[in-house]
Amino acid sequence: MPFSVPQRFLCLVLFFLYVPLAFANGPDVIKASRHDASPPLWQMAIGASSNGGRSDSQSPTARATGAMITNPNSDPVAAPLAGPLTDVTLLSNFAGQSAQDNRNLFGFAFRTPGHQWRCRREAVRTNGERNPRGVRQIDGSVAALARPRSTRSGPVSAVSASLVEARRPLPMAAIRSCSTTTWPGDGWVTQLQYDTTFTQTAQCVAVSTSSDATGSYKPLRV
Amino acid sequence: MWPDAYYNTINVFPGKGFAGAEACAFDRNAMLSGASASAICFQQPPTVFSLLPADLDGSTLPPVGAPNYLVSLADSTHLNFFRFHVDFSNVANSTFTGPTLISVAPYSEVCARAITLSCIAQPNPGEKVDGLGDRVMFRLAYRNFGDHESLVVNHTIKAETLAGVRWYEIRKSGGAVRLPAVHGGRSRRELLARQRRYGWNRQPRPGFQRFQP
Repeated sequence: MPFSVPQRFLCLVLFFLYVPLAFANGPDVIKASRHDASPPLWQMAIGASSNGGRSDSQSPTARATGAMITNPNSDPVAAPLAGPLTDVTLLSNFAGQSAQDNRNLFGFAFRTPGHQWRCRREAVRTNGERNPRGVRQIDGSVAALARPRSTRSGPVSAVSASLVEARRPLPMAAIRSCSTTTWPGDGWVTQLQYDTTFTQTAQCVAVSTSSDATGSYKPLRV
Repeated sequence: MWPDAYYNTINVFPGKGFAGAEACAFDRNAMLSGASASAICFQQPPTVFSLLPADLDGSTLPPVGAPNYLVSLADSTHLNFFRFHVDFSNVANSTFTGPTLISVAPYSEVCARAITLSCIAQPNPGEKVDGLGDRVMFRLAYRNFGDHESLVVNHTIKAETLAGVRWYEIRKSGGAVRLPAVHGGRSRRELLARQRRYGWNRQPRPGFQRFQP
């Protein structure tokens, strides 16, 4: 029996109502509209192109992705610190981290950068126990490290750790470095350090004293 | 970076509203060979925001066919965990599954999103900066250790009146489909709660710990 006009209309409405919903969770496919290749980097240097004199500034508008996450309960992970801080130069460091913070967190504090800095060879550890895990943290990026099996019995590779010191501006000639021997899988901590007048900077490096990346650290310092 | 694709996520703001995060996989093999490449994307609802795809570390690849993993903040006691399986030859086989909720210790954001963006104090005469506590921070590092697979990630939390950085290890072992478990989930950074300084975005010191039930 053929459908009546109202029935046909109803079917049409239902089709357009439910078909999009049926595919709502499916993937969207974006086809490449043009196969393009960028020019060489040397052609993309600053000043290589003109924007017609237009301003290159932007004014992005902050937009929230949702309500702020809050919890009325106190953080059970946070714990109070104990112990006074002595004999440490208070400097302003990367993102506000101070020497005091370093002392409390790592058991040492990087000291004032300056001419008195010199490299000191750290003793090579000879009893690196096998530990296939480690974590490297450099300026906010986390990398999980694995210790190669070939290094179970000794530090077959000496990794150079740089202790960089420079005055502003930062000419390459002012940078110096020293090295230490580490074990693959050791934990590393680095910190960009500058003084309160922003006239001196230093890249501080610390290496774990064992293959336990959560254990104690030894700074490469004066 | 994943063996089968390059993964990218965005927060979608059509007009003035927020539509949710979108996860896309770009055809890596086609791109490396210079062929025309396509992208397969999954749009999520507004309850899902700021997804972070896993980034491969190490020389041991994930198991063959393993999906890419994605993590985002869910609420004050959970993380969202997603799996993104992409199939460029048969788009219909592509799947985006989740969220699986992973329980974590209670936390609060340190700065209100897009309302009080800048709440982290800086040394004089610096202006306050955004804590970016509304998302897990780059990167979600993945590594296949052979006997288990791990993901590590961190985010900024409110530690009393200040800020701290909390990290998590999400570990999978055994079969390919198992609910991941959080190992660790604590950070010495949170010890900064009683300090008169912020722990925001300073180098957190995550590490792989033994399982602590």
